[in-house]
Amino acid sequence: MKRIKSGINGIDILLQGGLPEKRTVLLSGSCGTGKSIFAAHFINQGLSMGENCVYVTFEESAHNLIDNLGSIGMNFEAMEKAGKLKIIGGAIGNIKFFKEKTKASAKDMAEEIKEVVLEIKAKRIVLDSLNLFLMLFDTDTERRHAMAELSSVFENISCTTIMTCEVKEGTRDLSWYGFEEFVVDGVISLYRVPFENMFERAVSVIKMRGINHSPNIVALQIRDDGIHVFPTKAPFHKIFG
Amino acid sequence: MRKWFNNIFIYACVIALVSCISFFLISGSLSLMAFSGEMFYYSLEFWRIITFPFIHVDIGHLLQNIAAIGVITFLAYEVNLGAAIYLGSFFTASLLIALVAGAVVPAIIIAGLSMGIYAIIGAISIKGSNFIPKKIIIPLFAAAVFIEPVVSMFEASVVRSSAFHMIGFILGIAFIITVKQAVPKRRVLAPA
Repeated sequence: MKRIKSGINGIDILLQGGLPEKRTVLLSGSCGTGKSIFAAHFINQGLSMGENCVYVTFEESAHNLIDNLGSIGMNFEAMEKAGKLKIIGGAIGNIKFFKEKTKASAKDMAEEIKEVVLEIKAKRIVLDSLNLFLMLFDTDTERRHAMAELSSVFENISCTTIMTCEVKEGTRDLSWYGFEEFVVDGVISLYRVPFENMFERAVSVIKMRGINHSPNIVALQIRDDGIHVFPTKAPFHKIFG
Repeated sequence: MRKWFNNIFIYACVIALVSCISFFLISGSLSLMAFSGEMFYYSLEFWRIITFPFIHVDIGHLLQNIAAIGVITFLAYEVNLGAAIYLGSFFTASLLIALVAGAVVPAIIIAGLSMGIYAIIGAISIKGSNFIPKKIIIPLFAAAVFIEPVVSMFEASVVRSSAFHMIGFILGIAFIITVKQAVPKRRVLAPA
């Protein structure tokens, strides 16, 4: 199976080569674990290899996203102007407004993402975050249907996709609504656990269909230049003890 | 649960039922309700443009078309064609072919569901292109249309009906493409 670089060396080592190409991966973690930065590394890696990318955000506006990532050395603005990167979406409140105004369905929104991907022939997609996207729908049935529509689109467009997903603080959950992790090809979990007078971060690959991967929970740090993963280093604390 | 008016199976059943009622219960339905340019344009029998799809020449013609509409309706359901495209392509193709053919050759009699059926097939070939690529499905259906004339050694009536089927197929494709372009896209993530 062909692998592509995630943009974080330690993750590629945990995955024994990189992310499987054209698959969908759920990146789950509670608040502040580094999901968006991780996803940005993934996009940045694609852009540096000449691949066009799409970033679908429900967390913040494109302008804020570009500013925040610029502070860790990722120049998404230039890439967007060059047409190699498309950032769509925006703050969830705005998206909800437009969704209600246009009476758009999950299929309409999934097709919109597909249109943008096909327009620039993107190879990598980030959806940040999946739980905010699902929050646009009122019932559990609608959310499951929305997830199915999204999965169907991602399968058809042959891109490697990372979807971030927030989970409740202090739990072992892999998703917000409890079904997202079953629909994707892989799950990478980010942790943030109190240790002494600070929070320590860690990462582990929970599942990745079709490839061997390390089962270990390893240390992760967010520094000025982004995420660093230490594939041979266990975190300093007992995570589940 | 789908709303009833979006249920294409209901429409297929209605079409089949009306066709059966016309054939079995209305005596002389072919002469009373089939379409021809002479009767429509010269005798001003305007109802024929609405009734002719439900009229059939013989029991074989009726059963063939009812079976075809059954199969096509399941295919249309599978690709989520929608009632609007299903009915729109069916009636638009039937109407246009009858009006044009009736003006060009007023003497010929036009009846049956098949032009509308081929229009639905044309629409399915576009809507279902995620599952079956266009470069396979379109030539496949086009070839199916030409088999009958070849087998019948190019008998005039068979060639004519195959031509109508082919035009229906093309009109079905044109209908769904036109509707797709006419209906404004609902943009949420990247509003214009």
